[in-house]
Amino acid sequence: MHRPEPATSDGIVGPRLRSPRWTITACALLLALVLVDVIARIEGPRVCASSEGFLLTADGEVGWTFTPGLTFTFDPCAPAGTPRQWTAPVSINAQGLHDQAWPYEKRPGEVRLLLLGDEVADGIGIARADRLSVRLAHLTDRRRGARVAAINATIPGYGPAESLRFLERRGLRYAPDVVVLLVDPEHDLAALLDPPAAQELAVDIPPASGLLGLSAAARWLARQPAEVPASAVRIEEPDPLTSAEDRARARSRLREVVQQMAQTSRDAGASFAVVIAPRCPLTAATAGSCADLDDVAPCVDLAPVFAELERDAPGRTELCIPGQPRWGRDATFLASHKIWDTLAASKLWPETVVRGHRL
Amino acid sequence: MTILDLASRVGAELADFQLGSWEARHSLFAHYALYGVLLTALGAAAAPLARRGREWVLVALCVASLAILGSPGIAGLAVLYSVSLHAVVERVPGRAGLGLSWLLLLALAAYPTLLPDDVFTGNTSHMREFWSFATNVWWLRCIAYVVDRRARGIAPRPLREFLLATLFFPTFVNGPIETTEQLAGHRRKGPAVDSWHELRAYGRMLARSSARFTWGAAKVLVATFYLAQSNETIFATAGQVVSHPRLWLWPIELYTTFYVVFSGWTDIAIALARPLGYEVAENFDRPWRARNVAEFWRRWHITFGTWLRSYVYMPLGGNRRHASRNVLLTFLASGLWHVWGALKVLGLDGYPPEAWLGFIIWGLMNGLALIAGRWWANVPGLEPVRAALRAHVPQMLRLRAAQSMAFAFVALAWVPFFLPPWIDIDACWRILLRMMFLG
Repeated sequence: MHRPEPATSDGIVGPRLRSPRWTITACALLLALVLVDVIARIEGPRVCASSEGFLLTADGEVGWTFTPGLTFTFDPCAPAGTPRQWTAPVSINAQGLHDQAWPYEKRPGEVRLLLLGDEVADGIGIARADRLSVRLAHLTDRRRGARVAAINATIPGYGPAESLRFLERRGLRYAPDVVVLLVDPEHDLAALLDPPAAQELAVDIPPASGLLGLSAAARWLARQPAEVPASAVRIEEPDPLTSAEDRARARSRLREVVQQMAQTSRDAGASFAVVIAPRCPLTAATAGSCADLDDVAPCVDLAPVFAELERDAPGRTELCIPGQPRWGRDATFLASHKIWDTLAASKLWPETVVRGHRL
Repeated sequence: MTILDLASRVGAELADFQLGSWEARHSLFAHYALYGVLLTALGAAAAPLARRGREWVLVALCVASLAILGSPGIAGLAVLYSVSLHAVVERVPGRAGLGLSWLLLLALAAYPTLLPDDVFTGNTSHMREFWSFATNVWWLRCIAYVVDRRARGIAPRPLREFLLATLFFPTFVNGPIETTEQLAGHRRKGPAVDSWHELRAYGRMLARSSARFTWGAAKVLVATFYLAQSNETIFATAGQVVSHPRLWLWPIELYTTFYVVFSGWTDIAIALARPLGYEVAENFDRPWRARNVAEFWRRWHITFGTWLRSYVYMPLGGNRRHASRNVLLTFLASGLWHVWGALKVLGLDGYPPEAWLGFIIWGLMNGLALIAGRWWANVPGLEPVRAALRAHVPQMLRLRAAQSMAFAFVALAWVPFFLPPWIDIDACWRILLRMMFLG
């Protein structure tokens, strides 16, 4: 294993022992392989947004949730050259909700906020720190007051009735102190008259096996998550409301559901608020939706807030994720401040919670 | 507090730390550290190659780090830019070459500030942060090469060495800021071991690097989660919500946090560079031991201080003429360099000119303090006072007093430095007044 090397390389002339260098190479490549797998486990494979058969799974208790244990990087897979392509890592816990699993039992002194609604604010497509639940938690000063755990239980396709079902059957197990329902004034009103149904879907990503089962890096290359649902579902979009009569019926039904949800929350010792959360692309038609609900629960309408930002900085905002109904960073930022302040103004936060000042 | 209370508190803190580190796994720091180890391992795997081959492999890994932490488009632009700058410096003679070089440097200063979001092909939050930090370091290295070659007649470096030095991934995000000459001077044998004895020595070096990496990562994580948590609250309320002792401790906390986090990044950079064969310069030398502001700047962010001395202060005239003016201009340049960094992250909307005052005031405070220190040390009229102090105050006491005053001043100067852009500069004065029971 002796090979000459030019005198110019390291100033060493003559034959060299190559084995030590190959030892380094072998060890370094082994370490690199391990690191690649670790990174792939953290990031998860990139899965196109158009793939449906992996994200949601049927759940006998609450209808459907995200697929438990899923880790992937959301990729719009738009054609090359499309501006602002959002990719972001997603981790679903064993309970089928975003991020780390929350134990049902609260820690001493902890205050819990349960966020319910559909995908406008579910946080798929934006970084974790920009998610509404995380921003709400970060707005509290845990040094001077209680720790706030904001549990993100927003699930794609949920209308108010599905959120009520989730609250009754699972949400209350988290012992929330504050329950916040996000209501999209278009989709959710329609969903009240035409309840979204979870249709079984062929799993379009087969279960990992062989090398794919062992290696996260292999799954990353194959764009295949480690977890695939036993029974994937697709949520049928409700038919849009067309007549004024339907809209009036839907609003009346929304009021009933919100009343029931407020009562359920209060019976469990939690306060309750409603947020009018328009989905993207934003339109100006949604303002005024709080009028029906103000006497039932504190309500904040985010449509004018978003419209004001769009007016002040046209075309320069990240209110929406392009091509998605979901909110972008600016929308979650504005929403978190508005919701936090509304909860504080209505005295819905427990007294131990203190407002912090964080961007 | 009972043992049970304490245990419960420790348990809660550990749970928070676990949650915090879980949250932080997609942060720029986590990506830099994780991908940094991966790229270092790949760089070390090039051990059997001759030096030139190893260096080209490292260049490729530097470009890969730009693509991973930034975007492939950014990586392509960076390579194109660096190759162009090197070609202009080395191949275009005379004033035309110099003019063109400075034009390219100005373009690098302007482009990232005006960079459209479309350049980034993913979630933009960390990419902008990365791009801001990285271009701040990269720009200084490019300026150094142009000045070294064109004004100081330093020998040319081949393209691969220039690319490697300007885009060196271990130090690309947060320094240390080394010029092409300095990095080449810090080259060691690295993985190119020639005997089993050298391999054992390399193994020992790896063990030391791993320990330093772990120590650096622990510093960054612990400081990020536990220190300076009340900054924005204190700024937003001008310190009204905290007690006076807490407010007095706060600048010290700012200083400590910044030191721990920044030196943690440096630890990691140095630890990543060593296995590749580069003994990168230290960036900190126990800054709390500085006896005055001038010494502080020889102990804090050393490579940036060295760069400012070499490429701003000395060209302005150094100590030869208008020394005070030169000091102020140098610190103003330092303040504006930080402004430029923040502008790239937040854009002009999020970081309007009135918000720039924080960094500028910080720079001027340091400059004025340095001038005052020189005046105190050198003005002949004060010699009797200095002599009296030397005669009557024990040396140790004088040393500790000087260190304490320097520490306190530097800590106070961090207050405008850390002013959030959405809070008016008045907050700093009101905090200062409250510290003195006047507000």
